[in-house]
Amino acid sequence: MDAKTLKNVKVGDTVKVVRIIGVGAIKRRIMDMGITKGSEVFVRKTAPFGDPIEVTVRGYELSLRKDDAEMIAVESVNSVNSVNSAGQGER
Amino acid sequence: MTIRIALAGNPNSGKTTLFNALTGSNQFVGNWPGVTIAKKEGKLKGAKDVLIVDLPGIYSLSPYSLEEVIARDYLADERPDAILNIIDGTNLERNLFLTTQLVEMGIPVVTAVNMMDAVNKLGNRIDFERLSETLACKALGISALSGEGIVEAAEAAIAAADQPAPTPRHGFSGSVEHTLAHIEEAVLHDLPDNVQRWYAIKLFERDEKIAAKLNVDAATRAHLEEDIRKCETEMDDDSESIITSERYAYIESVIGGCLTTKKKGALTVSDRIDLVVTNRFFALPIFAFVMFVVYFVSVTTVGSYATDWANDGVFGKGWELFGARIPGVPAILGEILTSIDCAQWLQSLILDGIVAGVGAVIGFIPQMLILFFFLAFLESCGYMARIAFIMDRIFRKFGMSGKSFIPILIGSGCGVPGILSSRTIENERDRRMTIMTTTFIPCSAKLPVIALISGALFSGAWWVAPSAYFVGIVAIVCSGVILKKTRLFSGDPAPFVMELPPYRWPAARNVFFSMWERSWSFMKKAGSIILLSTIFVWFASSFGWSNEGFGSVEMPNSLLARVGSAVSWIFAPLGWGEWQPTVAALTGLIAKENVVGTFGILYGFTEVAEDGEEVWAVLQSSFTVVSAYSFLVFNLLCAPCVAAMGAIRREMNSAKWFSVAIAYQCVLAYLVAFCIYQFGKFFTGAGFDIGVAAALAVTAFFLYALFRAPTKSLAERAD
Repeated sequence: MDAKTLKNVKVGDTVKVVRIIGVGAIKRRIMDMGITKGSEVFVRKTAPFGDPIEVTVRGYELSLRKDDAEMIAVESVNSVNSVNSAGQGER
Repeated sequence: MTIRIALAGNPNSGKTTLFNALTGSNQFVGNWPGVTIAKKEGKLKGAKDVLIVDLPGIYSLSPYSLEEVIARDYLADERPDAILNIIDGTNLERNLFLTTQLVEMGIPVVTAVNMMDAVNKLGNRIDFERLSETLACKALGISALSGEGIVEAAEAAIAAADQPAPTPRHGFSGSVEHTLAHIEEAVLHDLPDNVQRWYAIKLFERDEKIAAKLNVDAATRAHLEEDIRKCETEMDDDSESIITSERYAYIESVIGGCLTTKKKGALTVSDRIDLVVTNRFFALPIFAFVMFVVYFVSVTTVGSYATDWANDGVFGKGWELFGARIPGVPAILGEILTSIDCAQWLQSLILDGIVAGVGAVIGFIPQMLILFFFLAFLESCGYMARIAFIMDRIFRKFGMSGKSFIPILIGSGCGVPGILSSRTIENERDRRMTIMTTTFIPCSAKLPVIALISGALFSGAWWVAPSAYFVGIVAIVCSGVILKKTRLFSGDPAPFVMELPPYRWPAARNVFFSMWERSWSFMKKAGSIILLSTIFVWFASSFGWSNEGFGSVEMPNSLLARVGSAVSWIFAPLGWGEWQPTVAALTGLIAKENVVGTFGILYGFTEVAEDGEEVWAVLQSSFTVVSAYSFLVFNLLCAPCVAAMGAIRREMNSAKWFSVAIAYQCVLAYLVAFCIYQFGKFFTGAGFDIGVAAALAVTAFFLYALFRAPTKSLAERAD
């Protein structure tokens, strides 16, 4: 099974970024906006049509598409709020 | 000697507010060479010899976005004397990320921490002395909105311009520094000392644009590549990620020392607004309401009163001011011209050509001002970003942006402001796609044409008007899907990683500046094109050969009518190959509502009602239901009026893209009308002929274009 990505984190959960998987422009942009290895990301909400998602990172709000969120490998910060493994996440 | 200060900062950091406050009305707005991104420069208030250059709002200096490339090329090649870096004090962490890159350019930097009033309100404290110390550049607090500290910031930048740029304090980890030193030694030792570090970091990041610029030969690059690989293996990450992560790690340490935050917990006002505004259930109703208000005020009520006043009053029959009758410009000018015995043709040129042409442009201005006011308001209060957030899912499917919704909505009132409102779309490809397709939606000037056809041939059937909108929407969606797959629109997809800025009450001055700037740029550039085109069409429709030789004639004998007759065979496959409908469609290029009036003139009526009721009987004899619908669809989809084409030319800012857009619209209109006529004919009882076969072929091609696999570069992304 794939490692957990930001795409399947439930709304309301906070996770820690492990790695950015992609390449090129999108990866650079994601990192420039502050989603770097070790940063904490809080998933705030999904848009009314289910995509994109809104996250809080480094104290501000950022929106990104689920396709791009899939490039961000994450791990749970606290065991209490731990998220289900890939596939059962928020839709 | 003029001191040049570049103003750099993140979007939403208050950069525009600061620029307006520093320069006042001494602004020159243009474009950066070769692109549609606005370049603003201005003289510092009270200092004739200080020029402020407003760089595009950027988050980083990566090679991947046009704005960032423009900004860094300006800094690296034009070498301004100082950089005034404005950062949002309520979001130091991400804003300082750009600062860490700016201080590496070898240009003196002054950091102005904006929104200090909001920072104080949050109960946060920033230690500026320490911040200046750690960043190796002067840092001070300002409030661009109230003007507090901005003079000091400008003075600090001027003072810094005299000094050599200090060496940046932050370093990277040992093995990165080691590699950077290698790079400097291998390729950069001939460059001035103060730019070596910037280039070394870019080469380490494998920045292709910089490598090409420095002309690094293949052997050296291979050698550098080896060094970079070694470092990457050691750090277990790629070079770009290493640099970015270390920058942020450094910023965390800076902030730890300089920023004291009050315990957070309570939601801010902005958070609370957002809870409602982008709520899963309320978001769409609120969005619909906001759009309704924008449309209602700028297109149907205030905007259309103002436009009617300008068109029918000032440039028409006259208007009333406190009971006094003020004649329209044509009447006043007409009297003057008659009184000085002006030649008939010259009078006609001035009144029917120039005044009508200028009037057509000016008529749009009130509507445009109102619309741009709303757009500026939506942008600066933070809601525009939420519109993109809400609508992205739908519009990205056909190659547009969530923000494409606004141009299309406005386009249903008038295509000109619709096209101009595409300005809010940052991504160039999404913007072009939106500009190309916006005018497919029937604008208010096309309504009389719909009324004419529906009344004359369909005895006013209820479905004709809705079907016109349906055709428009389908044309937009299908064009999006088809064009997205062509080479024109392929290429690396733009990342949709967008900041959702906190809601803020916009500064009135900024809203008005933006409103004026956009309207003025339209008046200047599109005005000249529209004016020339109107004069040309005026000439063609009022001059021609008669028994007395070349001269002023009635429209049926004019050059335009001749051209119409000469080219009318082109439209025979669409079912309306007579010269009258062809000429009517041609005059529609001036303004779509002209189609109705032209039919009136050509069929011998002097004046017709808006829906052309008088010509219905004649139309019934020369059109069939099918050919009439084909005529309608062609006029809905083909190239819009001259004013809208002027707007397209202005916004595309490229002759090539303008031609592509107009050609695409005309070809699509022709093919769709062709298929409608041929299939309609077949299903209403005519036999199968070569026309139907051709229509089948066109349909097959259309379906192929719609469902084929996308061109390569997009397919790669799907992997």
